[in-house]
Amino acid sequence: MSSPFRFDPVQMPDVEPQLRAEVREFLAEWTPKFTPWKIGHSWTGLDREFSKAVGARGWIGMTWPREYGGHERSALERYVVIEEMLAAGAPVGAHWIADRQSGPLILRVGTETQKKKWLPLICSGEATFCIGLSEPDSGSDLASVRTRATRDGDGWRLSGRKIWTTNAHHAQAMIALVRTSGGPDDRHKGLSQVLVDLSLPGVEIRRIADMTGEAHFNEVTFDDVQLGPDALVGVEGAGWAQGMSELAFERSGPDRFLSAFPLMPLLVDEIAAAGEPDRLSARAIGRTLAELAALREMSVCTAGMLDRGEDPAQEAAVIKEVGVTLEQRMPEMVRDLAPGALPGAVEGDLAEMRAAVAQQAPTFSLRGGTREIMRGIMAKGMGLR
Amino acid sequence: MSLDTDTATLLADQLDRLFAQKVDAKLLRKVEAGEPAAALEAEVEALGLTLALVPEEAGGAGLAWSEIGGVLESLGRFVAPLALAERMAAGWAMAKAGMEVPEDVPLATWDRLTLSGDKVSGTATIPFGRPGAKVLATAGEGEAAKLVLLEIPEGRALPTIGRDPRLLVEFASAAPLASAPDPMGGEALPAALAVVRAGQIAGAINHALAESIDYGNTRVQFGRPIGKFQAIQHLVAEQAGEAAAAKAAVQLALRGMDEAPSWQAAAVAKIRAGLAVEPVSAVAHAVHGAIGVTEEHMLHHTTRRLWQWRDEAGDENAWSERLGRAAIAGGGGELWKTVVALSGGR
Ligand SMILES: Cc1cc2nc3c(=O)[nH]c(=O)nc-3n(C[C@H](O)[C@H](O)[C@H](O)COP(=O)(O)OP(=O)(O)OC[C@H]3O[C@@H](n4cnc5c(N)ncnc54)[C@H](O)[C@@H]3O)c2cc1C
Repeated sequence: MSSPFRFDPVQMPDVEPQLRAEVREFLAEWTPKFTPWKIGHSWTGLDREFSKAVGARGWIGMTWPREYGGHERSALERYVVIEEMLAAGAPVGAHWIADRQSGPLILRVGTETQKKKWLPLICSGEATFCIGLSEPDSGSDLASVRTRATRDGDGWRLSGRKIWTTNAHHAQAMIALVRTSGGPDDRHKGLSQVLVDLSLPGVEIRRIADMTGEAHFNEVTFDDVQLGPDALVGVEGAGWAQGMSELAFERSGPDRFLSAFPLMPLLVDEIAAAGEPDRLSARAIGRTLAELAALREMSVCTAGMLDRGEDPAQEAAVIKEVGVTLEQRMPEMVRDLAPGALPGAVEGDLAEMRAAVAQQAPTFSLRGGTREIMRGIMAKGMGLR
Repeated sequence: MSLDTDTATLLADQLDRLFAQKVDAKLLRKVEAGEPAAALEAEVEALGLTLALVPEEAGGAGLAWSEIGGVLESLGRFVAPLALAERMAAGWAMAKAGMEVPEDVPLATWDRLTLSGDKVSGTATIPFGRPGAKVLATAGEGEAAKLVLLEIPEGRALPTIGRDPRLLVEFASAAPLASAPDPMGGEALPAALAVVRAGQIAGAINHALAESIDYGNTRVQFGRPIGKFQAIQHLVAEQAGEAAAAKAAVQLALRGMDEAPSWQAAAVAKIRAGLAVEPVSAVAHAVHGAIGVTEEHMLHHTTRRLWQWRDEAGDENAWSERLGRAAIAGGGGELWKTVVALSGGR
């Protein structure tokens, strides 16, 4: 065996430099409007007007068919757009999850009604989606979910509770993993994905404050919510497999190594302002650039594999594991290398952004599957489990 | 015309088979004791690989950098005790500089010599160096830099952690046998050597990973293979992440050397591969327990050379410092553009 992972090089489209320039010009107009604190929130930061403007430029649902509001561009063109957004720390939260995974899922396995109703709204930046996986008693052990949808005439009745749902309070819809038959012992069998319109009666969204002092995630309770016949996404009972194939999209993108990146340009300027850089600071910056370049190569190659319909679940786990480890080091790097901050103070652009990132950094290796779960997936792929 | 990828794969497979047969503990010990692997060298020579990166019109095989990844990996996986990687790099640099590449491609050194008139001075470490053989070196800096072909004088054997022969020599106003302006302002040979070393490192790292997986599945303690313990699984996964990143960085550099060779492309590969060495070798030894540090076990041949190779052709600290200084001078506003450019984006 030469390597348990494959990263086949891709050819970026010819429009790459031009597209990149367009996105940078657009971002140069918008980013001055956002505080360093907001930028420090990366893709969980949310600004509806911004997302609508991104939609108006045709940069949401870029690869989807035109009949659903998409733009039929390539996955690699989309990659250019999203990485530019992340590098700038743009608040993409209103459309991020829908563009990254909910929309593609609907497009792949959804009904015509679901596609016609939701995809155009996602593309225009008006519809925000959230992910309903975790429950109070189901974290890493996702197959143990207890929220249940039962057949009721043509439709379904939904009861249960989801938790840690990012931006549910801003969302119009959730795609939830629920049990439609059997019990907890059936594990992966009997699970399905349902699309829940969050404005329905019986849906209660309670915000949960986190340690930043803000509330980004929520507890969402379903009390006998009446769902229409069209709530089922894909095949009944195939929820586990459908959900797992979504995860490669969720884990291999640049959002797994760029969430803390906006700190780096500020840090570099701060180092430069202090005079001739010392040896250790220069090394730390150079090393980080090399690590980012390697991650970007892995991630771009994986985007190519996803585009060809392959399932790079192993590669995605590796990117997430290596990527979040780097992201998590970035606020510490600022602390190590930036001269002159007052002890513990949150004053000035760099300190403010660092404070935002540092208080979220522990979650980088939790959200989307924990570090330990990623390592377990990798071990399995290598034949150790 | 360059050979197609299938031919490149075939070559790597051929090399794998040859090394699998010939590179064993006995041979490695012999080379470490100072005796060259002459028979193996002759067989490799016969494959024509030293001229791999030399264009066909200059008498070479005309392979692209991105086609020799498998060859470098093979050299690393088997820790083959010969200077093929160095000679491929030398052949490429000479051809690029428009120098005539002799069939007996010279050895190479990453050390920079000084140039005074057309005389060359300074100290150089030469992997597998032998007095009387020829070595390609870089002399002078920037615009004035030249690639110089020199006859290797008497020197002394430098003791190293890898124990493959390294000859340390002193040039004192030596007259080059041939010379040409460096096509990359003094960067061509150091960059090429950094890339080939990074490729060897990636190969050796993936071997250490494969060995760790294999041992994890076979060594039994407490009634089960140790690989069934989650602690071991997570150690190996950590190793795998580093191995993947090193391999990706090398793949990137190989493409970079084909499209627009630069010291930055080489730096990324050598830094990322170099950074992976310690975590990967530490886990490999942790997983193998006491047997892994014995003279008899093969693992140390891999880990000792990893520790050797990461120091050579510029270690990750030196390359990082250079890359970092350039980035800091460029200012924060350029930093993201640098990341994109370093990873082949436009
Ligand atoms: C900021 C943030 C946003 C989130 N957003 C969403 C969202 O939008 N939608 C959603 O559904 N969920 C969301 N989550 C939840 C996230 O997916 C879970 O936190 C994650 O899956 C882990 O579950 P848990 O928190 O219950 O931890 P647990 O599963 O209880 O894990 C606790 C610890 O035990 C370890 N552990 C668990 N099982 C094993 C095992 N088998 N082997 C070794 N170690 C193990 C874990 O790695 C971890 O270290 C979010 C989480 C965060 C922090």
